[in-house]
Amino acid sequence: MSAALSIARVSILRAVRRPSSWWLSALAFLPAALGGWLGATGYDALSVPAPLLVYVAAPLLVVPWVAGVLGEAFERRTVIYWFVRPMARPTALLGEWLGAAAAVGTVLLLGGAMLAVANALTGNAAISSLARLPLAMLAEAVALAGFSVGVATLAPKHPVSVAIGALAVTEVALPSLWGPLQVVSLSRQVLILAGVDASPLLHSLVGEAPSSSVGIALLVMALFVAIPLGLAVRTVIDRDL
Amino acid sequence: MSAVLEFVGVSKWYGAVLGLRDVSLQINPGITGLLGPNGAGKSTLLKCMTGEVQPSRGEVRMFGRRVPAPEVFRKLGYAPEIEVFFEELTGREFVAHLAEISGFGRDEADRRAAAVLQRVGLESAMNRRVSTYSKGMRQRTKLAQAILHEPEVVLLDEPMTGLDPLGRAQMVALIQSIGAEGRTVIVSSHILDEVEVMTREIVVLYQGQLLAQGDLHAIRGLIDRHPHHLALRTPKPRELAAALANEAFVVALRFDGDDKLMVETRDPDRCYSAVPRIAKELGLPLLSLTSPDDNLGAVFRYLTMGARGGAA
Amino acid sequence: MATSPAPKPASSPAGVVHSLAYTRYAGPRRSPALVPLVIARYALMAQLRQRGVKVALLVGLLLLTIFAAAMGFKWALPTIVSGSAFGGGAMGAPQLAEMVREGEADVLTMTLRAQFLPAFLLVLWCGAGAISADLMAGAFQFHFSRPVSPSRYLAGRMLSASGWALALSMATLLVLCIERLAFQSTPLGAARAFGLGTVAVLLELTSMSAVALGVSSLTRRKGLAQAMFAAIVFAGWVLFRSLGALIRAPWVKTLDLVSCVDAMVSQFNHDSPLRGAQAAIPALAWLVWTAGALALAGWRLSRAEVNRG
Repeated sequence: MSAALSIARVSILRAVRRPSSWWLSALAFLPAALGGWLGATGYDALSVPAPLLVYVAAPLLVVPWVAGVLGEAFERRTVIYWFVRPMARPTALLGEWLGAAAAVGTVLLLGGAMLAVANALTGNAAISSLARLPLAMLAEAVALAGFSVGVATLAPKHPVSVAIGALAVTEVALPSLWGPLQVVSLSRQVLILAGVDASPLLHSLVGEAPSSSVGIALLVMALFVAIPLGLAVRTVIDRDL
Repeated sequence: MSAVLEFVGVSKWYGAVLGLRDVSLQINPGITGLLGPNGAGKSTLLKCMTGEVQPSRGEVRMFGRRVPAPEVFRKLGYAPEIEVFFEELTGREFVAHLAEISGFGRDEADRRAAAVLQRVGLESAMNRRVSTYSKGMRQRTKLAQAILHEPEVVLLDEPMTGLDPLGRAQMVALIQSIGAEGRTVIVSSHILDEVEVMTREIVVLYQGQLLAQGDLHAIRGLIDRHPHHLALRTPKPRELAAALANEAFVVALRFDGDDKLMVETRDPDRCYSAVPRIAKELGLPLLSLTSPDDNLGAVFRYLTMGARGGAA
Repeated sequence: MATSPAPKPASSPAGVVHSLAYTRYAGPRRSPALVPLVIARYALMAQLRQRGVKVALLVGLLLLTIFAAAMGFKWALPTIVSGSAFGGGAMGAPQLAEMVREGEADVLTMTLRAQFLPAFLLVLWCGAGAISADLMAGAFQFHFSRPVSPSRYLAGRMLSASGWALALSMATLLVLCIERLAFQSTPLGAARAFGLGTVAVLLELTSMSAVALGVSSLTRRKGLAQAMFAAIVFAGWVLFRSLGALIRAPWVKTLDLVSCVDAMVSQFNHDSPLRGAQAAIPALAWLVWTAGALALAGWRLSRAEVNRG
């Protein structure tokens, strides 16, 4: 476990020192700025910025941050420095996930919190939304980080394009085909956790959404992480580098 | 007692491409040079030792245990040929991080990182980010992370690449000092002169096969297709040649300038002892006696030429 | 103005080797105008060896089949129904004309819709990382040490970024037009649909590949470039559509990279809500995206060339 924590700590340190992390982080705060502006001009501060944060900003922040960097480590073989140490290879994936989840989780938590505050300041927010949206964003960050670690391990040559392609299918293409398929959409589950009603907007973008519960949302999110990460753990154990 | 490192019938294919073919060998403590032309399978052999690649057939054992295994990795240090690290970290952070993964506590890891970076001559640059390091500094950092946990086996893949002559000499001295500590050091390299300075124990690979293994001089002795050459300098080479022509171990004689005689022999040991004796009997001063092809370059050339044309 | 000859050195240099065998190649050379085609041809061949490109092409072919079957069924149905015992009799001329017009509009819409995802993935894969990969590998010397200008290099990269997506989209368009011809349309109508469809496909892929190359020129990290491209496509789509819906301004919905082409297609089909001066907004948005991205890539390339000397 100490090896995983060391890898997590170094992952955070590297992210902090990478300029791209900083301007990728800006993605998390743009919806809050938009929400503030919309709220100030008399529109709903949440119905557009929240889906924008959940559907677009979060995945596009997390995927290059996590999948891009880990994929590069596999592709350039820097992972070998870990893999010739006395630890099981999946420990490195666990460490990367922990570090990435902590880093992007903090950014998205803050992004969600700022949007919730912007919503509250414009006077049309229930107090619960102040907590639910940031926590939902944290959950999305954890899920997307796990998903990205899995994809980067499985497709190290093109981790970002594969991850974006997969998300384009689960978040846009399948839900657009048939409303009930929104159950495979991670972003949809995050909106349920956040308690944000974005159905009019989502209806115009990806079609009618079925009702869902927080329990189902958490289950879908867990599967969203478990499937790619499980496959990655199986692959990394005896894959040639 | 089993060898430190043992390959048992190891073959490796990358799809249709052959990496290693039925390699069996044992490696014992001391420095061993791993030689071979490009594509001979040197890196694949090292990667099999580190578990980076799994053999398609056969097995690799270290201290009697099958590789890869965490217990083995406690005793193994590896400097791969890649020149990239976690570029955002400083050299000290990078090495300390790997020390932590090797099982040391944070303070001990940091202490070890500082000490080992000092040993490889990076004390003034250890707190700089790795992204600012030159090639030579990167090679030293790789060596530092490989030896920080005092491993019993150290694998160095092309450690001389990209180093200037001074850097090479320093790297050779460092590797020699690691070997002198009783560790098993395996150095893969193209630079034969430097390997020769470090060790006379070599493993030669060619097209994925084990071509030769053992002491350089002994291997040279086994290459009977090419007679050994001795270069003699004496003021009267023709007189000496006349005397040597009667000896059974001499295959051919050739004059090279006014004072140089080239002797070809299939029995170098007898030749080495006979030539000074005959010169003394004739009263001829022997200014020098050298063997231009009893060196790694010549052995490597003969071996690989022999492999191309059939058995040596 | 006459120039004086260079002064001779006071003494001969210590050693000089003059090569007398060298003769400059004086044979035929192809026009530099063909450079983009050469760059594109090699890149397209290399792309075809990548699994991701093969998968995207297979998905595209699958979607082509599904859409062709669905549209064929839709267009054949009135003929089947009117010819069957359940048919409601002959269709009136205005109804028929409307049906034909709708069918031709379908060709444009469905071509873009069927191939949007594969086209996006192919441009993401082949275009968004193209210049980044060259930046990372320092491969500009290979191009710019030859008579290749940055604009020709960029044109070659544009062709290679959109080549496979273009092939898929054109195949879809062709199949749909043949179906139109088989079921309802006249040769002239099908040709018109094919022409407009070609324009729509070219508009979509030109802007998409230009933006992909524009972001690709900004960073050496391929993954980051791909993420930026996806951000522009999806974030723009969600943002402008949502804002347009929120403030009830249809023209805002046409500002993003994808919707501006969709809006122009609606205009081709005489189905656009934009009137008057607003009708020019989609074309202007397309122009801004495309020209802006190309200018950015060109500027970055000229700097890269100078930097690498």
